[in-house]
Amino acid sequence: MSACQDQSLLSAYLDQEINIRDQERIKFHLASCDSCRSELESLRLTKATLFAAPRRAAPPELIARIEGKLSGPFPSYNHSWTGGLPRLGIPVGALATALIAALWLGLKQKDPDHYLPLEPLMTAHSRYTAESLVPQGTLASSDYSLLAYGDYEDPDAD
Amino acid sequence: MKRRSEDFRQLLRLWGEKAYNFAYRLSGNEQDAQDLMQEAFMRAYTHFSSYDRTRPFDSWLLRILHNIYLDGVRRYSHNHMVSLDIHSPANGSAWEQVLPDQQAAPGDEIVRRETDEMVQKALNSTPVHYRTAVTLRDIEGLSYEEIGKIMGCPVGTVRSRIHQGRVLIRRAYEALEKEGKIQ
Repeated sequence: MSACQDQSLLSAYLDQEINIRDQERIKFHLASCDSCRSELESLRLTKATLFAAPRRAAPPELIARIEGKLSGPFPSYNHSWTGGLPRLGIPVGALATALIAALWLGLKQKDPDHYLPLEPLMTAHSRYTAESLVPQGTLASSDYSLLAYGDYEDPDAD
Repeated sequence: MKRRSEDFRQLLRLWGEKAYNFAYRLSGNEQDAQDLMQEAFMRAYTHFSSYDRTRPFDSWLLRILHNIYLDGVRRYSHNHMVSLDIHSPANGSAWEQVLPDQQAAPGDEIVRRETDEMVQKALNSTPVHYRTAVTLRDIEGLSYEEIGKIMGCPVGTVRSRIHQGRVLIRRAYEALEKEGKIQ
């Protein structure tokens, strides 16, 4: 602010909302600039006038009206359908989500146009087969063998 | 739900005065201030789940109130919300509803009211962004950073709005003084 270039700094100076370096710079400038000193005094007076303006008290009937409305439901928190399940809500919800996801995945696999990565499944199958945990040839003879991981196309990819 | 409702009542008691004063200084009249405050608290109540509890509630509330006011200004005309003539407290009964200072002498009370009337008229004559920034700083005493969060702008913008706002308010106030509004 060496040549009164940015007087908005004066307001920030008055409010002590600038760093110490700028504060010192402005202080130094004010010592030799009548115009900026006068502007600063004017800003100080305006600020004091606004600060001294009486505060408005909210009318009691307004407070009462708002309080009356606060007895309504909390839409973001309170859902009537969970009202009867205060403690079971989360586990039941998680179980239901898992079931829906499993059902959805099952339907997806039946969809011939939808390709899923089967490499992990085939690897697991091979291991289980080697350990005789499942009947031999169950998956190897099926059409799933056509869907190698490398052929997978992400339907959501651009 | 009852607990949350009670918590919110506490917040209303804590911040109601601040919200109302800000609403009044923004809108310039009692009726709009009441509507603004009620709408702001109801929105805050409805969307309380989106409130970041690590930040001050009053800043969040004032931001909601400010946005409602801006919506109102955009939707209707500027004059609808801040008319200098129709809603001026000096011309209506609104000032009589303001709690009087029982300790003040009658003469002081008149001067106080007239000064306050001029302050509000000067604020009303200033564009909304400047008026908001100056009100939040000089009347509500918030920091530049808090004002930036409420108004959704950088601190540098807040700084220039406060300065420009003070200059405009001072000019308007001086013009009113010259009109002989104050004794």
